Amino acid sequence: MKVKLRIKRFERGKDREPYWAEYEVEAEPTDRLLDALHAVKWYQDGTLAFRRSCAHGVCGSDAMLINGVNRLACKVLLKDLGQRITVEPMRGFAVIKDLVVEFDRFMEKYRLVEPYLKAGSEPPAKERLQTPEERERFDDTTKCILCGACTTSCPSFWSNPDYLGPAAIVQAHRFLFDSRDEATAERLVVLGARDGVWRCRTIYNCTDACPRGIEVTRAIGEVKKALLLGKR
Amino acid sequence: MEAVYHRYDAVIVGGGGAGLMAAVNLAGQEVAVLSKLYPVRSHTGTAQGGIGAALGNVEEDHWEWHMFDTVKGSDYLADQDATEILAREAVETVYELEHWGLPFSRTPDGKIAQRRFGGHTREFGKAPVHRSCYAADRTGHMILQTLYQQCIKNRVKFFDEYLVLDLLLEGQRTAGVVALSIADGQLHVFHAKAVLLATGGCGRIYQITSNAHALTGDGMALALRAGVPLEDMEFFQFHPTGIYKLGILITEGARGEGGKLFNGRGERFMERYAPTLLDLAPRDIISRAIYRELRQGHGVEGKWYVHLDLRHLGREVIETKLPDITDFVRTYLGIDPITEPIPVQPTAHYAMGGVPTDVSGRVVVDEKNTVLPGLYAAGECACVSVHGANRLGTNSLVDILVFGRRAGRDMGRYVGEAELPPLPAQPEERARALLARLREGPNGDGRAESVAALRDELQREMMDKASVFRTGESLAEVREQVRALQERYQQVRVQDRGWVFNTDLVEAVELGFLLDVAEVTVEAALARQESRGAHYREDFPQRDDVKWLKHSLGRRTASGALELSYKPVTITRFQPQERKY
Amino acid sequence: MYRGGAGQWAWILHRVTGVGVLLFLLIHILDTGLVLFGAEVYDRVVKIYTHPLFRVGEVGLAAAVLYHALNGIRITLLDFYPELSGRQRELFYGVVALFVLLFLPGAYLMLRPLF
Repeated sequence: MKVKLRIKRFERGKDREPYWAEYEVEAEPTDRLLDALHAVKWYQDGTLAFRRSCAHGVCGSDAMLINGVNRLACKVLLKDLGQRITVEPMRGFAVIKDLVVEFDRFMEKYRLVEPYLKAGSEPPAKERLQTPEERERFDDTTKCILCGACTTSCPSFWSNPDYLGPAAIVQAHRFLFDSRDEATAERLVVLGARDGVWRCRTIYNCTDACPRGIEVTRAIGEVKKALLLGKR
Repeated sequence: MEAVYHRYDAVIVGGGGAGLMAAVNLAGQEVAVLSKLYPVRSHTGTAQGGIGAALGNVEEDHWEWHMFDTVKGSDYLADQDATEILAREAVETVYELEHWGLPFSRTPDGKIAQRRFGGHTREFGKAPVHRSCYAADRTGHMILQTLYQQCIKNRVKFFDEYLVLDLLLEGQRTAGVVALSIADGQLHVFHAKAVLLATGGCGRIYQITSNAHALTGDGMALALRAGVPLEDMEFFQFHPTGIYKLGILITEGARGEGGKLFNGRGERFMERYAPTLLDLAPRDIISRAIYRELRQGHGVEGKWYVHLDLRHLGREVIETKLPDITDFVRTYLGIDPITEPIPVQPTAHYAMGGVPTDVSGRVVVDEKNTVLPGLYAAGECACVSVHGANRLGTNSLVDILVFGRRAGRDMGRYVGEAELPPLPAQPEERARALLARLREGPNGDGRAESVAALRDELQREMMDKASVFRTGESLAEVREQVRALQERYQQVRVQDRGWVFNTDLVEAVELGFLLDVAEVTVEAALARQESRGAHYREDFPQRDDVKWLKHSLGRRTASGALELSYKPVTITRFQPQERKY
Repeated sequence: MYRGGAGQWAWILHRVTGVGVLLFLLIHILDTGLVLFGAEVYDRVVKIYTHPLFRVGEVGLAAAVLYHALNGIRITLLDFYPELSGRQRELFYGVVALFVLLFLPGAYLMLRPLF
């Protein structure tokens, strides 16, 4: 079937304004949007720039705005998008080129929540024990692939780029609720600061955008509750 | 533009499991990690099934059994001193990961959970054993993240989205690398005492592959161009269960949990090919079995795939133990593994060969294992060799961590002792010339080759003639085709002439790497007149230990031709036997 | 416009009604404050509010307060019971349903004197 792609193009340093470019490709309904983008880049316009790697929804490289919603280009099939598709870069980060945005600041927010286990005590010779129930408690937030779809779908983030954002909070949640982590108090300080969880307005764009199906807003809510009432 | 100059003690090329593990073990030194992707995008993150270690949490297990399974799985080509280290150090490596916070799945009594996996047995081959330590079916994702988190904790310096174009040697010592900063097209020279190549595999030489687009054999090609030989390139593993036509991996863990393979006639065909281990036989055995079934017309509905049936496992097991692959199957095939069988076919998965190293990760450049001072390699791009002619599942995650750590530690020792060699004159010249040629075209006369066209042809021909089944004829043909493509590559000109985030240029550079790697692969495969592990020659279907129990080394000579030589296999505990399952 | 789902619309309406009610309050404080300028000024201004247009405006105000209160309860529930998040869409539909149920009769009663 024929698919019309309307892609927002822009090159930093060269273009003053972004502009729309239209392409038509021949594709199968079961093809991924990424396949269509490749068809454009490889056979029509080699200047089109986008990030991608694993092409099956695990590495998180190709998050972008597709038909007005944040998705991973490699996880959405053409049959679910229709024959006229609009593709734009994620919002809220400066565009470098076409569908590629500045991502360093996103990784900085990740680093701010100190996303590594702080276990305090000396580790045992073998593994620290953890029951399946304890493991289950934070299972959801271990799935995060740092794709950025959640943070860049959040109106609170759009209006305030200093907000930690859903992704960083999800990563903090993963440690907060890991029974082996002992740094609860210091983690909550960062999360309870002005640009921490309290910027969340319970909008749910993040949960809808997450390609891994993580209940992002719920995780943020659990952190809010931990701040108010104590952990668990 | 002038190249930007940096000075470090050590530079790590590649931000996957091996590179990050080395970085953590070098923390405190002047080390920089260069990665053409953000490290969290590395392919380590897509590993699903688990990391193999003889913890013995679910049933009795010993590292000696693990070592035996690995050696037998390698069709006796693995260097057993290295394999012993792999099996032994696997245990402490897994505990270290857990201490760093890796969220392993757990047994009811709180220990790290383990499951069965292809080729892993108890008591030297008696029956499958629970050896694979897993985190649902996203073990690789958790390992990559945990390592990156440790790098953050240790304040490792990263240069993200830097593509390394050239390896710099001064005399016979490592002097650094030249890299392209993808965001702005600027060249960077990294002057360093030690360089670790940890760039992963090269599955993109094939059309149907589980590998990410980024896996273009960069480190292997860089080493080759610097005069270093590549070892055992003829051994490329085809994973039996990739999603039909897409190549996306369905983990062996699905069979570890009890999944079974059926052909179009509803037969559990592995009964005929591996009566003891059945669907948990090593991957090369199963891939060939599937191809044989397909060639006989036993594909489902006559098509080129068989069925992986998980239905009998039940909803509970599928959704808790195999959630990610359930998602893949639902997303890409629109079917539910709980109620329908999954169409699968072999997919190009893993390069057993690569840059030859000793057990400390130091690159060795000839049959006598002469070390090239300062150059290291670890992970899939290296060949120690622990996997020989075929790799067992879960062993790659062990490999990258054990040898990533060893390489990192030896690099730490080396930079403490060695002096910084001078840079060659005009260190960025070769890289600059390559980019100029790709950008302008060789003649600027308009007639130019396209990256995509050449790459499509390479992938198609390699899949057709140098994949699961090979013959002298098919290999000779594809060798000519690759050589012709190498010629045409000299005429490639990119469409995108910009400097900012020019992925057209990146792909053009990567195509060059793919062609180099494919050339050595085909040359080595043509020369090896036997079948062993993943390398199967229909014209030489038997294993020949008398003539071929040796590692191949493919080197590019000064004239540009490829020259093959061989070195012996280190055998310690296990004498080669017939490989039956 | 980002094509967000129910959650985004719930928030947009919550923000609009919140700002709207706030504006009303400010104006109301100002107009009540006119009392300081004497009964005549105050009466004259307040008489403007008897115009039918303002009656309709009051209905709008009632709608804003009602929606904001109902959705406010929804958000409070979701904040204290994050496990309900899986049902946030249904809760929003519930808010809309309750709104219609309560607003329609109320609007009718408020507008009837005009006809």
